Amino acid sequence: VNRFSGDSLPSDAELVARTLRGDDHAFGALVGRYEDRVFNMVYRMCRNHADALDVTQTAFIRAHAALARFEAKANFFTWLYRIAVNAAITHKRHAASRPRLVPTVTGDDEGQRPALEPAATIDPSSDLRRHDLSDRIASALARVEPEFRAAVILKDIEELDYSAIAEILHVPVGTVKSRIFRGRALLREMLLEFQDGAP
Amino acid sequence: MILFDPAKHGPDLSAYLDGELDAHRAAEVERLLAESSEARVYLDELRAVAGGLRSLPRLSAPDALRAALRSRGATSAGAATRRGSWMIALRTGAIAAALGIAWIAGQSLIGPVTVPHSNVTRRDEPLTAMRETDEKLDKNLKDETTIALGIPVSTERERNKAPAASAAGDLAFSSAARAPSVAGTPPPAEPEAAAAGGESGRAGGLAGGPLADADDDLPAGEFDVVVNTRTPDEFKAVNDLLLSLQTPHAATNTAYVARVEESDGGEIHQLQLPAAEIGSLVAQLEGRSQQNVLVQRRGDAETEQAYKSAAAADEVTRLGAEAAGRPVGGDREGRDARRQLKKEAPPQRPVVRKPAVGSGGQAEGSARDSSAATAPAASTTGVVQADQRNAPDSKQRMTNQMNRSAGRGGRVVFRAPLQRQVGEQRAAADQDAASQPADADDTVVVNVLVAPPAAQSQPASRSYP
Repeated sequence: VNRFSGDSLPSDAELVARTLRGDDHAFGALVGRYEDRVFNMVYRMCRNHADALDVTQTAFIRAHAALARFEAKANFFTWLYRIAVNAAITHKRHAASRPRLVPTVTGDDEGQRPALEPAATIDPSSDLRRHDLSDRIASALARVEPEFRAAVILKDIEELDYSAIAEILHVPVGTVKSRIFRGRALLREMLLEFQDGAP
Repeated sequence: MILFDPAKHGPDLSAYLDGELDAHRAAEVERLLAESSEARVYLDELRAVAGGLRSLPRLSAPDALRAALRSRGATSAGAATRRGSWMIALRTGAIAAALGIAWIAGQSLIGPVTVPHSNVTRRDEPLTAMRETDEKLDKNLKDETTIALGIPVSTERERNKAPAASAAGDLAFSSAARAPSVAGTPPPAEPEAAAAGGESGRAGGLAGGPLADADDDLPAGEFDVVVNTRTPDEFKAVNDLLLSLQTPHAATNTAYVARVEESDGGEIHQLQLPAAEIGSLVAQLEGRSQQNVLVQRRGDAETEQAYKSAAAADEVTRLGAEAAGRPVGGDREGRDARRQLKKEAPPQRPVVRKPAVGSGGQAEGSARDSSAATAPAASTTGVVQADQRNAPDSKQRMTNQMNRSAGRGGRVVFRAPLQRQVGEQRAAADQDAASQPADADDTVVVNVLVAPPAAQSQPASRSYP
């Protein structure tokens, strides 16, 4: 329900059905609903702005292409995420299997981290530490195996429950539990190593 | 006393942190925490990790992506024409060829988007081809967690029966276009406006009617351009030039469509641009590749001509105008007559066949040899060659290159479309064309293969003079 107008917003299922009936705008509405979340998740998977753009766009296009096979009983959001996660993992495999030959227009921004929020505190040193920690965590996350990384991102960044993650990753809940733990354990080790090595 | 073992107790601790344990397991974890300080420390560290991840800044989709996605989903009304589907069919064919896939279903996805204050009607990327590409690549890499998103290949006949482009573009095209992908499911009813087709379809902003009907508004044409580079810097300069066309460009009013990265270092770019601009593009490519450019117009035997650098730009400009059915001088009647001829005898579309497994190398090698045998012996700087022998030669080269790309897992990289307007300053090569107001309909599709320097040392077909 739209809190401001009081109008009921169409559900995902309704938008999917309208898209399948040929409504040109319905899928656009779905895109608007999820583009930010998908992009954020994909960026955390790829940690590269240009790749995230590609993968996000790919994910939506694939979703539209396969929409006819989307089962109405399923959750569109988890289904879309599943496509996006797979696209991100596939993308990384491709990227790893061959050198990147041409610089992208937007540039590989491994070193260009997204703008952080404005300083919310009056303690500059605290703010710097917070940003530094974010950088370390993001950097460590990029070194975690994609399967574990996806699970951790979906849990700790996207804050999904285990059953939704299981649906997205197409694995049992027990596997999700294991992957999340392993991902966190790897991050813990990397951060502890950094802490031990820090001046 | 319970001894804490991270490998054994860690998963439960992690799930406990998330509140995902049932009551019994949660009680066990709490007992462990009560007895083991190590477990408590470990849990705190896991909590810190999770908290750190949650504190990462949340990113929003960039405006470029947002605009690209939204424009396709929401700018359809009143913008589409049936011609859009034809253009997409051409571009789709080019990318499909790049991947060794000939004519796959659902080609009619995108309607043109009219750019305000611009004299260009720009169409978006060949998303059908992108899907084909992704499906092919994914199929190669499919694992248990990869869901199948393949689109069944339809015959050309089926494709022609499918409704043409939806005005909404790739993100909101008619479900009827996907009907073949749902086995046993009758296609949903077409939107009324789409079913109406023809002028009524235009007026309603929905592209409609079978593809065949779109032939009364033929696309401008398609060109293959091969750019041989001799040094890495040259290779980069050419690719940078092509990539730069994604941004508003004063001299070339172009629309970037796709880029295919090849595993062996080559790049294929696909552009859509006004016919009058192709000369300028070629001139710029020549400038960055020591005049080592070959241009070939696709079409039937009579119209296919290969133009080899240098200084082919002027001739190619004329050729581009001609391809658009607009003879130099802007003869509309001649254009209509050309369209009528095409309608009566449509040109043979190039069919790309992947080499058979086990014999591909030999076949390709033969093609290379043949290609090399017919290639001109030396460059004729400053002279435009319209040698018919070059046409199949060039075509074979492009086909071989595309096949190799497909076989090696090249990928299509799509960029967010950017609207652009013709700048006041045009390149000198465009002056003649600029004096003839560019007709929004007179656009051509240009496939540019940028051959890397290393590959030219190989016995590849691209090593022509």
